[in-house]
Amino acid sequence: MSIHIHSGQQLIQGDKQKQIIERIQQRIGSFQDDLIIIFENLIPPPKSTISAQLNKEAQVYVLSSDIEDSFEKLNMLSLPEGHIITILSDSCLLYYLSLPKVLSEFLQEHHIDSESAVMYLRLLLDEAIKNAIEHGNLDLSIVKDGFIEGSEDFEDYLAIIQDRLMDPRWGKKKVILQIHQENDKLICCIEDEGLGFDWEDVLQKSESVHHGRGLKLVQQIAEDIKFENNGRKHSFSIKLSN
Amino acid sequence: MAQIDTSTSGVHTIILDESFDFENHREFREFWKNALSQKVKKIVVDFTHVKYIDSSALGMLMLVKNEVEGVDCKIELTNVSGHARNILQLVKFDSKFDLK
Repeated sequence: MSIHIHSGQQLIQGDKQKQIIERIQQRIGSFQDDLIIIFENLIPPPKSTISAQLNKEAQVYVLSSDIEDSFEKLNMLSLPEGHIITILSDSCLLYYLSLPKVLSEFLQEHHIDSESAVMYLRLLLDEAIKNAIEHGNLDLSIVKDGFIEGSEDFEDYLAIIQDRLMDPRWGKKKVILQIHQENDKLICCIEDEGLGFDWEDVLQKSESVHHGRGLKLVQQIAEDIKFENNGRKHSFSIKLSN
Repeated sequence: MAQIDTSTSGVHTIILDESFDFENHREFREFWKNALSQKVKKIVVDFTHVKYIDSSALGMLMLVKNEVEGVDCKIELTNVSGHARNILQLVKFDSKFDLK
């Protein structure tokens, strides 16, 4: 196990960092031990359950209780070659943390030369995380009251998301995100604790005004797309030289 | 995000920030509703500063398009480049919107 601390690198700085911190604090208040980042030597694919991840011995970054401190830690991340980065988070924190932006900028520093690839990676992570939370952990795909299917009211949809994120029954469900490099590709895998969803059905349906585009974008941009475990586990890759 | 009210000329411009995603939803909605309340003939969405858009942005644009088409108004997307242009073309918005 080796952890490289890359000193002097600031991914989010000054006013922007303060804005993000204030936004998160306004929305979710204080939180504890919600986001864990694990660095370890590249190992065979992880076991399928999130609890197995928690029990495994590994170097762990716990980004907790103090969001300002969490950003300090995020600013010191480095992904040594041949290592896998694992991020484990409660849904309620991950949804508002702007992690795709932070991660894509971090990976740009170390692995990706193309600005276009960085933006595509950010988009893929954004859509995959939102999908895992909204249709996985928050169980929104099976709501029958019309807010998801047949409704065009995005305000209502956002309100439902916020309500469920604040409710521990949904908001404390974990998302696990793993990223590693294989030759000229970054491999991303995201897993949630939801009931699963019919991803084939989502991809086949025509989108409404606000819904249905995220997964289709992933399908159009990413490579090696796989869904497992009834849609709870989703992996894809992106070329670093895109 | 900023808006330029040029309603006397019948045009209302919304200047987007660097990221156009679900975080901007409320402000963007407020701006285009404001424009429609002034019965403008055209809403210009200026992408000059935009470096990143996600699927929420696509939904927001479709919503405005649907709204303006019902009230004798047009929507135009200007200064679209880089990632934003790539994504809009990927989902074939260049055939749905006046893209400049």
